[in-house]
Amino acid sequence: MASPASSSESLEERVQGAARIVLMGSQRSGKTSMERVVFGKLSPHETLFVPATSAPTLRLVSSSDLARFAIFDIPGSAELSELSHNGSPLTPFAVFSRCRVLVYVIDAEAEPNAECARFAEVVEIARKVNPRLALEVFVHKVDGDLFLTEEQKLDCRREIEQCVRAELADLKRVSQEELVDEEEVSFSLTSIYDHSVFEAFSKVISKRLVPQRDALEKLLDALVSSCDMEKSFLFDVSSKVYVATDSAPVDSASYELCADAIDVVLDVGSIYAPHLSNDACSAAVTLSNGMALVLDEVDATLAVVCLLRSENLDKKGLIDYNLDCFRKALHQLADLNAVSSSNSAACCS
Amino acid sequence: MRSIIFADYLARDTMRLSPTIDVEYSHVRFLGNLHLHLWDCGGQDDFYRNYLENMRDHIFRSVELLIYVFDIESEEEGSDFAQFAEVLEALEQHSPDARVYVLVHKMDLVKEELRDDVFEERQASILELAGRLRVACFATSIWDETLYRAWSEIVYSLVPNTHMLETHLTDFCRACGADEVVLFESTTFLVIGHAAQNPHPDAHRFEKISNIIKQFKLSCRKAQAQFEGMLVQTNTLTALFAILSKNTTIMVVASDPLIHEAALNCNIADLRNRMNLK
Ligand SMILES: Nc1nc2c(ncn2[C@@H]2O[C@H](COP(=O)(O)OP(=O)(O)OP(=O)(O)O)[C@@H](O)[C@H]2O)c(=O)[nH]1
Ligand SMILES: Nc1nc2c(ncn2[C@@H]2O[C@H](COP(=O)(O)OP(=O)(O)O)[C@@H](O)[C@H]2O)c(=O)[nH]1
Ligand SMILES: [Mg+2]
Repeated sequence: MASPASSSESLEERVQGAARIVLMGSQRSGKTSMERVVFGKLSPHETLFVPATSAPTLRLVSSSDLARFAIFDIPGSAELSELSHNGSPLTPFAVFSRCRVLVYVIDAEAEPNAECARFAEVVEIARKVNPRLALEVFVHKVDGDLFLTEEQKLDCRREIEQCVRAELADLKRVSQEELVDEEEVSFSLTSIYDHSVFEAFSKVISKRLVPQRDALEKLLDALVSSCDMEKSFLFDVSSKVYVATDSAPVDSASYELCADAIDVVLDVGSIYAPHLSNDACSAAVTLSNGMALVLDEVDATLAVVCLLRSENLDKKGLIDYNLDCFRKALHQLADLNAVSSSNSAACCS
Repeated sequence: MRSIIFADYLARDTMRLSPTIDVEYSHVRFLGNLHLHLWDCGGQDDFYRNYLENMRDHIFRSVELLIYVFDIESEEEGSDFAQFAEVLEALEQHSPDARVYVLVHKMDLVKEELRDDVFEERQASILELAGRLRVACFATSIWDETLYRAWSEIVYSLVPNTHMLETHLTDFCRACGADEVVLFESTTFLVIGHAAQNPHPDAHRFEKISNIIKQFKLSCRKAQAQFEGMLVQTNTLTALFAILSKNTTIMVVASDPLIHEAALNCNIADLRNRMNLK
């Protein structure tokens, strides 16, 4: 079902209309690398050849009807005020007004005090323009020799967390308006060499960028309970970021397994069915520990992946029926979404 | 006794492997009654003196197959070749019937447009040293499926009774109405046999599948589980992976939409009986 909005718009309009994540942080902290690895399928070792970003780059990374968003990659080599975009100087308004989330990347091996102070400066500028901007810190590159154990990673996060909270508490004290509360920032440990950066983006996107988030969660809850499943994710297939999940807590191991199942299924599928993209694919995988995975492509960009006990895989009819219901409900939501976004676009112009 | 020697190193997909010290010996039971004795020999110069002098007999006697790995990036090309020549000499003396597979490794570090030329050149110098030995060369990298291409060929050459195996697979493929069937060793996911009714345009598909499934097996292991089977379906494709025996997994690919999964499973059970597998 083509949405009325997407067919008539130009790419430029779609980029402008998409919800935005702003990616900031010191130079070489890994912003461009993470964007390319998660949304551009670059393999991690190839990021060694990614050049330093010279100008702010806005890129549409997902344009499904349910989750449409763009990433604004701001180089760390210069102050905001020294940069320009599309020929005009980059004002704080241009960066932050349309933006939902600021993802601030801190290199885990960098000196934390200076990094946290810079973050607080950015928060001050950003919140003055956009008080509703959500704040996320990615403590990045936790894969070096300093971070061999989970303990070491958590220590590093704790240190940065405390430092950021202290900086933001200072900011709150000196600023007149209530700019920021030090408790509202979320922290994630990330590395492009494992799933952590994919999971961190998943959290940001499913929590903050999907307009129909609550409805999607309810639909997935219904699917899980009617088929006796353990966990379900709605994935953006090309990035393997989940845009929605049911209300049960996410554990990283289940996320990783479900994300990897997409690779194995689509890679094998594309060898034997070269036109796989115009042909919905479904799959089941069985594992030795009594668990199984079910995958179902619901449209050209999204797939639902569920984890369940393998004995429940026997009720294939029930699963197929419920997946079908899920798919239909999803299409209705997507249509609603398209209508509401084209309405709001009409209001603006 | 079948021995495979791993000279120099074999890549594992990890950056943190420590160099192999001396010789690490392992024994793999492959396909039920085929036992492989693997000798992974550390690549440092001191160890080489030891292999070639003190352990010469011990290592180079009754070798069925030698795998020698060159690092394409190595700065000491000359001494690498001198060492290789000495190893070949020892092998020719103690196991003149051995086959030699040379992997020219880390090819990902060479620019893509230069890869063919660089490899051709290396291959020519390697083959010059072959003497009476049967030597084959492969360009490999742990970052793509080329490593599986080399290893599949190596393992395939060691499987006994390939002819009988392929006859069974051909009958099975026809009985299922499948386009293609492939038999994999379950641990390595290397191909040990295949049969097809319809030709497929991609000659490298098996290595790709080995690579894809192997990656996924690693993910499963992280989740404390093992990969058992998989069914992938679209309107025009059914691809079923199922355990055939203790050490093998079979893949059946069918494009006829009327072929049902249940029917494939029945045929697999039947194949298991006919091949006397449990
Ligand atoms: N070890 C490790 N290295 C990383 C990781 N992410 C990025 N890098 C490396 O960090 C270096 C800098 O990455 P970039 O993506 O160019 O950094 P940037 O933040 O975009 O830098 P500017 O564009 O100058 O602001 C590259 O060499 C990457 O390979 C990671 O998770 N782990
Ligand atoms: N770029 C690249 N690096 C590789 C490749 N294979 C192995 N390596 C790296 O080379 C190093 C040594 O590998 P290892 O297997 O331990 O060598 P060994 O000492 O001969 O056993 C490791 O850091 C690997 O990550 C490859 O194909 N490409
Ligand atoms: Mg950059």
